Amino acid sequence: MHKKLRKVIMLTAAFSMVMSTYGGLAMAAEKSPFAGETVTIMVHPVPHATGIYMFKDKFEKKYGIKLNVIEVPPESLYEKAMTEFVAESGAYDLVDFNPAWIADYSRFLEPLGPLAKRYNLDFKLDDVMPIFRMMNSWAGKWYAMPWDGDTHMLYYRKDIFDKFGLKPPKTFEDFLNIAKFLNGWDWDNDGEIEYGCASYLKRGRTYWWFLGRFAGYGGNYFDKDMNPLINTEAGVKALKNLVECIKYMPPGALNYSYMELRTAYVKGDVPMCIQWTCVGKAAEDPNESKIVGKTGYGLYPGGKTMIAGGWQFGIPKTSKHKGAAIQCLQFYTNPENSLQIVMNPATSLDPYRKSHYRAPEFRRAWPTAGEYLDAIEANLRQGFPDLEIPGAAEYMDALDYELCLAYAGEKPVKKALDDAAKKWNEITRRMGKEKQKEAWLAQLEAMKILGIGE
Amino acid sequence: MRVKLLARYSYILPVIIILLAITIFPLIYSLTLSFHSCDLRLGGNWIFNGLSNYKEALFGDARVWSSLKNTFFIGIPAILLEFLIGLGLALLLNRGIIGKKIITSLLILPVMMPPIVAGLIWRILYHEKYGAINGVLRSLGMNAQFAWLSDPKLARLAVILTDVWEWTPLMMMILLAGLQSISIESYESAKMDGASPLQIFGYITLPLLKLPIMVAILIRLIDSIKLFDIIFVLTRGGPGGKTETISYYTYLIGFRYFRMGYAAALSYLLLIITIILSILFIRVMTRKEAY
Repeated sequence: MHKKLRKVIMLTAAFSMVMSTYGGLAMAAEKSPFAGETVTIMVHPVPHATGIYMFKDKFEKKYGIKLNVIEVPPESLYEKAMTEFVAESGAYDLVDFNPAWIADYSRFLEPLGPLAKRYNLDFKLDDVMPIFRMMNSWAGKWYAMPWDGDTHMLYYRKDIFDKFGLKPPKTFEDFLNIAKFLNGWDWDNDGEIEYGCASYLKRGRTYWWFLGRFAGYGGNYFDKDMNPLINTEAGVKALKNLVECIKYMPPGALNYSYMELRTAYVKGDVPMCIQWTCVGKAAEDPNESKIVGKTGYGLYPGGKTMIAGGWQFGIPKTSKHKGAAIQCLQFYTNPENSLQIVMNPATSLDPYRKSHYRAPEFRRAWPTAGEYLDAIEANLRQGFPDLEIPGAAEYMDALDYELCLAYAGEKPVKKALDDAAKKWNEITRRMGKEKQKEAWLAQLEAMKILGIGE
Repeated sequence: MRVKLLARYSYILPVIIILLAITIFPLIYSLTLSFHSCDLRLGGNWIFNGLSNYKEALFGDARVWSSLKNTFFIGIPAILLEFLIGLGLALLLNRGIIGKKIITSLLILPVMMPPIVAGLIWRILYHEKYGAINGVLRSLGMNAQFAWLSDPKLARLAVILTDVWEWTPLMMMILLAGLQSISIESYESAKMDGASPLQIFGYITLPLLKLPIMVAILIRLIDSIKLFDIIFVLTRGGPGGKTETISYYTYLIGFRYFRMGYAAALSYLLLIITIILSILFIRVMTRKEAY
């Protein structure tokens, strides 16, 4: 009897195992018509790519679609993707890109609306913050889905500010004065000299740290006739302030990019900085941070906040797996999965859905998480978006080059900005002034509708 | 006779076809491209614009001149240092020291390393706070806070040192091969005539080493004009534009702005500069030989 019972149990167990395996496969095949396909994703490397790895197994199991993740250094993403687009290689099925490049990319991307409709996929777009929705459309067509909501914000050491009776800076003059005061001495008594502030100053992306200041001083990219405004009084004031701040930054700050700046803040070397929203999560992660529980979140000084729009995925026209790619995109950006991704400090991806800012889970993630999320929303309300016209990458690179010359003292501030403006005019002429003007006026209009960047 | 001739040509035909396909065709293609405006972001149409790209490069683009200046300010000191250190090491190794084989193998390790890897290693070494270089200086009692890659006064030096570390072994190997080909009789007769070691070096070693020196410096000169990978990893042309070389700038024009016509023109200008410098250098070196 005993033996018989054991036999029955074993047979039942074996039968259920076989059934569950086949059943699972049958379910996968049933659920996705693309089972067996491989989606190749070109993605900004770790920590961004961590967002993909978080759900890779789950996605592959659920849909039977394989993911081939190719990490590309952020500085090379634009040229790498453009090279593949132009060569029509079809090497990638999903490309991760910055909204500023959408005008250049749109020619090579599949509009997502019809594709989502064809496969009956709901991206819950009403839940995406309007500013990010604006930044992933071009000429009225929706080309990309955000998976990161990048906006700058002010981080400051609440404990140190309280200790010395300092208030979070409201203007960049305040910012400079606080940096002066806290520079060059051991204000946290850890036996090391600390510095006044830090910034992203390395060639490539430093323009964002200038543009926020520039907008705060009342600047905008162009006038309505496409004349550059970068070298106006607002530009000069902004750059002078940034150059002056360099004196109060740690040695080697001219080579700081995202990671060095993040490290300088979370390791307690500087009392304040302007950084992307992901740094707020890193500052509360004991694995990385020495300042857990000590960060205050503020509005960007000057009254305008630089919004780069984060990173987003598009599907190249040359992709041979568009169905599988959009399925993957929908899976990663649905409200539930995306919340897990943007909450994880290891991803450096930021909230972009309305539901992210209000998720009780996120607001409980650490004692001041609610303040952090509210501060992001407040910064978004006073946002100043990236330039989104054809050749935006070239305009920004020309500006970036001149900014670096001014930082290094190779050119006076005004001369650097004049040269940037000259270069912008040359790019406009080369790309076709009327076409550029039309694109710029369309961006102005979109900004006006959203009530930002005017 | 004619059949024989045809047969002979047919033997070399595959080589000619391959050569045309992989060398001559790209050369002609890029030369033609350099006379056109071709922006891949705008559809990649070729629009003939004559010498406009060359005119822009020579008279309208200040970054071409500043990047050329940087190329020489980095390249010339690097080659000089590589030559002097390489020659010193070659002379040392030519004397038959103990552990010569092991030392030689260790010394040539950097040259076997891909420049990107070398750049990454040095980027870590140069770090202001955590880098080994400042660490060593601090352990020697110096208050070393050198921002090697971001201080405008140090960045070029940092690139030069990395280049010297990577390429001195090449110089050393070529010169060592040259030294070993000099016959022992020349030295023996000089010694018998009472020549001092310095005289032997000045009147025998150096003149007989002229050809290897010329080859080694020429290889490095051409390489230096093309300096790209170390810059890409270490500084991306910064701080400011202090280390932006002409090759790096050409790369930006081609693969960041996708202005393929202008990038082709810049490449041809670079080729012309390289040829002129090489001819001048060979002339100077061979003129001395006439003495």
